Amino acid sequence: MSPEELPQASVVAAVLAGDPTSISTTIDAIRRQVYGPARILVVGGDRAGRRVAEGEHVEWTPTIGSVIDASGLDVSHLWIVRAGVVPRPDALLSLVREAERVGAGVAGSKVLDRQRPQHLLSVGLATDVFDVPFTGLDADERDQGQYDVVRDVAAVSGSSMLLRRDLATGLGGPDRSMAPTAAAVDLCQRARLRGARVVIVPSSEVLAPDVPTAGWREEASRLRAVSKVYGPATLAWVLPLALLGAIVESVLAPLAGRWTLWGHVKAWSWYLAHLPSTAAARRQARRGRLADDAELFRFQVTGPLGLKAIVSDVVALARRRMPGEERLSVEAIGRELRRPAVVTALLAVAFVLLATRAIWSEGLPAVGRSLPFPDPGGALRAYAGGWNPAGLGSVDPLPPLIGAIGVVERLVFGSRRLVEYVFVFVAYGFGLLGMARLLRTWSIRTVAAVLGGVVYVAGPLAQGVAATTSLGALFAIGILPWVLRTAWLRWPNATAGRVGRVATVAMLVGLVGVLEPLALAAPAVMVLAALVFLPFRATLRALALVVVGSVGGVLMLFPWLGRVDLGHYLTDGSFFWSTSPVVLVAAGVLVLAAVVGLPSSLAGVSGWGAVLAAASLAGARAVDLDVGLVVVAVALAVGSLGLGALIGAAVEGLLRVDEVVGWRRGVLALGLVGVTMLVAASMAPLLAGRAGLPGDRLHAALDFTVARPGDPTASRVLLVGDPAVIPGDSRPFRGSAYRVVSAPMPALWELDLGDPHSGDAALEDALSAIVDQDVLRGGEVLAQFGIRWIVVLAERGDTAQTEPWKTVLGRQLDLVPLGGGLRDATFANEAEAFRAVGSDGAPWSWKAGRYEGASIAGGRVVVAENPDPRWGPSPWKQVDWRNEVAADTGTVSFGVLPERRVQAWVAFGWFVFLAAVAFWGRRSA
Amino acid sequence: MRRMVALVVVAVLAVVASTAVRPGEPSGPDFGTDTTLDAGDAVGRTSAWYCPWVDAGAVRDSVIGLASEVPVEALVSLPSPFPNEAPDTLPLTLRALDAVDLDIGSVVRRGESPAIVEFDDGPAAAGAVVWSDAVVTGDRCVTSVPKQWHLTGGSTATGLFVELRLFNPFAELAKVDITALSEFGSEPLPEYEGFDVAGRSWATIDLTTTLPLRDVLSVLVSTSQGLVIPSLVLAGDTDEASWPGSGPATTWEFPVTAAGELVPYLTISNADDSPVSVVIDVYGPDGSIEEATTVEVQASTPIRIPLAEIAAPPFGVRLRSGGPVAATVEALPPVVDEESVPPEDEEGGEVRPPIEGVAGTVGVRSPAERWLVPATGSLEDSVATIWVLNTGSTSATVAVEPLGPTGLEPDKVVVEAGTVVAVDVESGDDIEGYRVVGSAPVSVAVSIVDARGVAFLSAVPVR
Repeated sequence: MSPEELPQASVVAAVLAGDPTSISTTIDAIRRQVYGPARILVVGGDRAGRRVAEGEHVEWTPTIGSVIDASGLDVSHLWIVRAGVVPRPDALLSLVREAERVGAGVAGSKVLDRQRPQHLLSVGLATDVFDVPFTGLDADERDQGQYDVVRDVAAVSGSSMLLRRDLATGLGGPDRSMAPTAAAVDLCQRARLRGARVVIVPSSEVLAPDVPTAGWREEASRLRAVSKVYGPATLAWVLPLALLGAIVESVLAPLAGRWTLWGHVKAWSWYLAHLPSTAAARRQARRGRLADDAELFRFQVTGPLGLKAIVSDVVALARRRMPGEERLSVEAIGRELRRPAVVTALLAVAFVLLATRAIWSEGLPAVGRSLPFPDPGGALRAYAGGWNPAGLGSVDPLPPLIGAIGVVERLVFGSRRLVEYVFVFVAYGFGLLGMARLLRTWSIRTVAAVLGGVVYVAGPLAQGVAATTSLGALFAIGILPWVLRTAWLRWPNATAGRVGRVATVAMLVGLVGVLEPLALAAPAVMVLAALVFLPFRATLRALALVVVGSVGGVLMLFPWLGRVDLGHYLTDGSFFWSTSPVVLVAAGVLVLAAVVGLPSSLAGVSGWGAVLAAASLAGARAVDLDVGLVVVAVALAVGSLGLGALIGAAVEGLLRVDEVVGWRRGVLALGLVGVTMLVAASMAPLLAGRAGLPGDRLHAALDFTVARPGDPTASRVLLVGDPAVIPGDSRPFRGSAYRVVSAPMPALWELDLGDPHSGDAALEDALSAIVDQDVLRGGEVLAQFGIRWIVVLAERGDTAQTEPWKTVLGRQLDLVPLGGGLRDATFANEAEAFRAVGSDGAPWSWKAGRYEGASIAGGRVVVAENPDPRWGPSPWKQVDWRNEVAADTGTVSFGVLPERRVQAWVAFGWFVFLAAVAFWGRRSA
Repeated sequence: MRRMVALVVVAVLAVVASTAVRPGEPSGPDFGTDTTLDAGDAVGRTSAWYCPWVDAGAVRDSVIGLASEVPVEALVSLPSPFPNEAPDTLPLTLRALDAVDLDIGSVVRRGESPAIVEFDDGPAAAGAVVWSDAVVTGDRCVTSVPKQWHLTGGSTATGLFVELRLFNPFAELAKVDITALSEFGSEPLPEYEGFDVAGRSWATIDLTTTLPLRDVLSVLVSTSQGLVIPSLVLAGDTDEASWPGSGPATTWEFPVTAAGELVPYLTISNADDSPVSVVIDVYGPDGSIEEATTVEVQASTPIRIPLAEIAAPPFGVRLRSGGPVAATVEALPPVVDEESVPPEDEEGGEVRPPIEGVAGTVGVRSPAERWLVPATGSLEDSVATIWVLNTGSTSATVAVEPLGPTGLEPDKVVVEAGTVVAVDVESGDDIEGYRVVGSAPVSVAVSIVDARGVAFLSAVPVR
């Protein structure tokens, strides 16, 4: 190039001393430019940077700002090059020429991988609205000149950036507090805000190290960047959406094997801590702006890029984890879709979605021990040392499932319906997938494994679990096979891997226990049984793992474990499981055929499964042993896993046409009848779409409360009648049963009634007085308990239960029977009945574990809960069996039990620790 | 080997499972009902008394009498005939051994005014008396509420009229089935099958037009839904009598059967499916006639026995039957011989006016040692008589204690075994009721007689 072709600009090159060791390389490259800069400066890097600058005989300044300040009017451009970047000799020339030609304020170079110079790293950036950068490049995309055109972009890479000096003076250079990529985006956006063009100049090539741009500082810097440039209207939705996206990412990222929660926490913490300086920077950035947000949006892509990336990773991972011999690829989709494995997997997904569809639209049915989840906000507090609202309340511990619900609620923004669906979907989806993965441990292929999974989550025994309405056991189905799968996996060679494996098993077993504490023992029992049937050494190691894991997982059950009456827990409730004789015969035939006809390896699996299924069958009918409902539910869950293994092994045997021949094949063909019957029986949950749970019972009984005048949440409902129909626990009463529940609908945390307290004793006395007709206005008596309605619950046509109640209640002068086509005999209390009432007579409502009402200065509120001095605000006083507290604040709540709160935190911390160790071990291995 | 182990274990477990038997369904609550108590027994607890026939308007007046052995708070409620209108209520306080009368006309005057009396403790009891210029009627109220009631003693013969009042004091709609029993047997009343009585309201059914010219008319009232308190009103040309429903029993005692010239009758109704043999014992002031007569009561065919043909009044009656029956006594005007001359008194000249009217009451199932007698002081210038019947084998010393003012001494009378004694009682000095305490179990009833008419009231046993 002849000197007359050279631009007339004067450029100062500023080398950002990120890595002092590579400054010299960059300076050497700058010195080789055909269009040399007027000056070269090293910026930052403290003492090391200064030392290198001295060694290279160039100037050193601490900040870009000082470079700008030191640049005289003769300087037209500032060339910012990151240390380690090697510009090609004509890089600066191209930048200056093209920038001047198109009148750009900011021009960036094409960035190539320094290790692999033919691979592109950046040809300008687009961003989403959150400033997440988007290169538009495929991974390892080669440079074939396909992007070689000067064009406007949202931002250019900070590796090599030419900045007009006057613009730089106005902008103040890159934000030093920001991470590199975000700082470059920020600088470009601020430039655009002032009307400057930002262009990429592909003819200017630099070689740069491929440094990952993720990390919490980048995210924090992006938050700062958007806060600086967007107008208030845009910020009003961008920042909340950014937070929302971070939360969703935190939930989804673990599915892709990443943990982003703490990164998001750190980023937002940093952002919030730097808000004052951000505000100042914002004032400066928007002062004298010539463009608005719309100009920025022009160069942005739609949709949240971060979330898209996570979802993409999850999908990719799911593809890889699908039990198939080959991973899917886009090109092969057409072919793969026709493969039995893929078809089966898609059918399985459809099955899960169909079998749980009603939960999504209607929520969990309110029947038996299945009740809607508590209102958002209260569950976690109640579990961690708060008030147990069952009956007339107590400090009895709530089951760990309530704590888990509370945690998940926090993660899904308090959507109760979503939490319910998450739990059910986990049970069905993860259960099915986990069973399929477990069966792969024994080389059972996709079709067989998925069929085993279907029978596991929806077969006759799983339907038995659902019939018990024990939600904890039902949810535990989703994790049980993963425990076994992890325990039976090949033992890692590396110590970190082994530690991680133990932590994984402990975490999974602990999770099972959190969902249903008794199920914590189930993996050990199942593996113990497997010692007889499966390869001894691997099974013995798996047994040791689950035993250690069970011990480790126990800690997650606190504070429930420290207070619960285990005797009651194991014996409360009853359930006698029965099924169609046809199904039993089919299962029997299948057991015989599989155990006898399968080859040795599969016969072990089928034998193990058959023993588990048979044992659960016996356990679920052991009425003489006084086992409680939870024992039956867990036994059925264990048996269901056994049945799934049996099905999987049998179908695998049928598929092995080369290995299973002769008389064995004939015997197995007999088993096909059993397989068909059991798989067909597993389709039953598809009909109602409630994951096998029974139909709703309580809504028909209690929905009327919403239609009555007044706030139903301010009152309770007394349920009397058949204990099998009354939800959760009930108290026996002269051949019948009763309990009180919250109106309009009790929540899951009201299931378990503990030992009776003074209020409960008073209620029983009141009920006795009504039944004995010692009182004529039973409504007045019941009003002190906040009982506004009485519903007589029994199976349809069970007059033996209903008539005596209707008679005694009908004789009370202030109990009005309600008509209107209600399914159950229902009486309304004519007396005013509020569970909390202020001294002004106004009712207070029960909301998410506390009472709210109109504050009364100096007034009092009487709370119809069992007496406890921790009710507040103080001063607290016991009135009869009730509590009286101050009404000044408009809120009445129970002061948490500190030791239980600590225990809950420890349990949660232990879970997080186990998860972290598991992740670390897996990564390290 | 593993295959064998699996098959054996599965087989054993399957056998264990198959031998398990599903536990039985719970039989339902057992709230128990004290069958020894009648609808008119006072017990030592909270109670409600229902008085269906109370009436206060332009023509009639009513008094509800309350009597209690212990200090009680009482609440008298008079439901409004208008739907959704709150009842009129009046709280009252009774001391121990106290009785008060409540003039309903001072509370409301709207004609028929069935009442509810609630006591927060007991034993306590309530009765009601209704009167007008030509009517005196009343009886004790009822406290228990069975699903089926027997109301015997009605008649629609010439000169007699019968009404059935159905009072539903509860909130629930009552669906009532009414069956009539007469000398013609069971008579269906299709128009009164599933008859609705709205909650906290009442209905009055005129049986005279529905079933005219029945010499003996009894009614069975049952409810398929809800509950009602019925009472039967038997009216003559002038006076009328009203009594509550009762349940069936195998023994009934009637201390009072007649007053003045009124002719006593005993009506027995057998709602069972088979005939029942009934023995009637008669107890006069001087002795008894055991098994004075025996009658067979056909199923669904009530009979009326003219007691005057057995003995000369006054006397008490005991009924013993082989099966449960319902029974009442009625005192009806004699058939007047138009040619007869009115009697002159011994002094000559002054003619004592004959006692006119209609009276009737239910009996008591079994004797008791303590009785409460409310509403004896409701009518001024009337003669109230407490009748004490001792059907036992030993004599009983009976103290008749005035309730209300303190310091009044009880009258003590000896009632010999197998006799009946009439004790005229005062109604002045704020004495509104009595308690009768016997050294042995006796049965007690009251008659109130004045120029306007006659009323029999059953007393209330304290169990």
